[in-house]
Amino acid sequence: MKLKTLIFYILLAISLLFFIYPVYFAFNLAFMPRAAIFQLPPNYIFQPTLDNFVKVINSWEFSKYLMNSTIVSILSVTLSLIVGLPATYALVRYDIPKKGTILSMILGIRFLPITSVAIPFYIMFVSLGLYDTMFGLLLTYILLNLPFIVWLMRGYIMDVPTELEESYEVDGLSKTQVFLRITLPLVYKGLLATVLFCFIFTWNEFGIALLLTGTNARTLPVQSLQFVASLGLDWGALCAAAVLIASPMIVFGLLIRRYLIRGLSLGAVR
Amino acid sequence: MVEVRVENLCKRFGSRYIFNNFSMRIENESFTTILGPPGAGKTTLLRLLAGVEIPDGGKIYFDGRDVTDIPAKDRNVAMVFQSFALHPTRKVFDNIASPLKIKNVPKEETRRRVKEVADMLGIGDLLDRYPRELSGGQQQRVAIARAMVKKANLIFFDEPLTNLDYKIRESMRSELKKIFTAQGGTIVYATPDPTDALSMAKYVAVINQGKLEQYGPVDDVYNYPANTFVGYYFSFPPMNLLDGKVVREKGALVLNSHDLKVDLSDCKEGIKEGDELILGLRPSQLFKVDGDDVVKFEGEVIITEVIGSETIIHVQYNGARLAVHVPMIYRLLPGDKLTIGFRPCDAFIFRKADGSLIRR
Repeated sequence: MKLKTLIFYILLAISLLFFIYPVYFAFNLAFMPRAAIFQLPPNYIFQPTLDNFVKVINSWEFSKYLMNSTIVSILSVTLSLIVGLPATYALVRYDIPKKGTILSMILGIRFLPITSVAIPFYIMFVSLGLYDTMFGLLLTYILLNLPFIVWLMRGYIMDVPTELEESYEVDGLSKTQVFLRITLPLVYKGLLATVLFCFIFTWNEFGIALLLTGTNARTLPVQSLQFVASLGLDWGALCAAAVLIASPMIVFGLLIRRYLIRGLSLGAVR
Repeated sequence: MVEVRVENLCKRFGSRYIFNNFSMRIENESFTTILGPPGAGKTTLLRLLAGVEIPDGGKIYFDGRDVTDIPAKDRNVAMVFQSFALHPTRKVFDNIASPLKIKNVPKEETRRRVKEVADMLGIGDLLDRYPRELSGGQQQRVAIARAMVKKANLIFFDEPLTNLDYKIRESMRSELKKIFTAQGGTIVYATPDPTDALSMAKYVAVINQGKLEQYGPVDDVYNYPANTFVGYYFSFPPMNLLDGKVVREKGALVLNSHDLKVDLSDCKEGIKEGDELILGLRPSQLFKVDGDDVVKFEGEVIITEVIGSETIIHVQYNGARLAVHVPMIYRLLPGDKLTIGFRPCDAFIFRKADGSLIRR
């Protein structure tokens, strides 16, 4: 093995350790009996238990908030796509005045640190009666997902040759049909990657949900806060909740991994 | 079987006008070449006619019917794109069958028509392949097959030979002509290459910077170029254009260009002494020209270019640079002398002020 390759693998291993270890640690804690958690030095060999999970599922209104999270994630990503895909297509293919400015403004939404708009958002939501409603949360997530969709999909759509689309117009398809039947199927790998990104973002989102929901529209990440209570941190339950929340995304990610790598690295058509 | 008429067409991208009040007519049942340098507006014109581009003003008529606002899908035209525009994840068969499938032509008929066209173009055994598995020439044929299978009355070709290498281009040219003759219909063919127009087309429209310079039957345009641009561009190699002045010699008006003299007594138009004119000489009418009235002169070779089995010799004479076309390989060294000449009746004379043809 060449020295270069060796160094590459060593660096890779170090960075992997850096990112994987906390995950491993949380995963471990979730299965640890309460007594073992506070042992020093940490004891990595223990009898795994599902107590923490049982506690999580029983202690809060797990199913209600799972439902909230699921609905908000699926709906917001779907609605963002319904709005975002045609918008992206138009921004790529049509001669729109001030196109660059529009694109930067869309991206600008993501430049804003959410804390800077937190208070105005809260006041606005309360006065509009959107506080602690699924609808309000949905609107916010659509707003935050749109820039992702526009900027990621823009690259993929630009990779589809204009002449290919036009040739199907000449063959007899309308512009809408060309978009749905020719362009979208050609960029589906990029689309899957984009959907996963948006889905993970929405599913895991914490700050906005904490701010804009009460007990009604609350989502899973916010609910797991209950284990950080005045009585002290319930590490085991907190980590069990984290594992429960993360697992659907991990499974989803593994399922579409093949498309994800392709979708992220290069355009769909070449 | 469509006559195309374009009136006062305007098209701009941003603030740049590609066409500003462009008008022309394309004869029914003809093979018309749109000839012009890159950026002249050829492709834009075809796209406007096909309906994939919307004009900013003006009207387009097919057989007298206003189609300006009719979308591409309803214009019943076909187009071969410069990039071939083949669907990368669909097989050749599906690429060719695309217009028929969209029109819901019965499966059996689709199969038959695709096979027929593919066989005619010599790609009948490639139907199960993907476009990326084909050579450039084969992809080109697939694109042509896709346009022909539709049996449209109006077919546009956007520089179909530009993306092919030299050898295939040569053979495609003669083959295309055969196919087009068999196919019928009105064919509009955009190309930057005068050879395409000369070898295939019946009519030629020379455009430059969004302006129609000249339109007419190929031979007419070739023999009587309306101005210096047409003369220069619709000629391979390009026509030599030399500055000159009208002088009076022995009582007759004569054009003197770098001491090459052409009698102007047969020009009826108001030419007077001191007028500035341009002398146009085709490179192919300079080498080994014999006759009593030939204007002979000796040029000094600057460089020799061998193209295929032909040679273009650039010579210098009295401050003028000329290209000489020699129909064989004929290598000369820089500084060598070459005797050339032209018959006055072969010379084109243009007015310098506006470039218009005075006589040939």
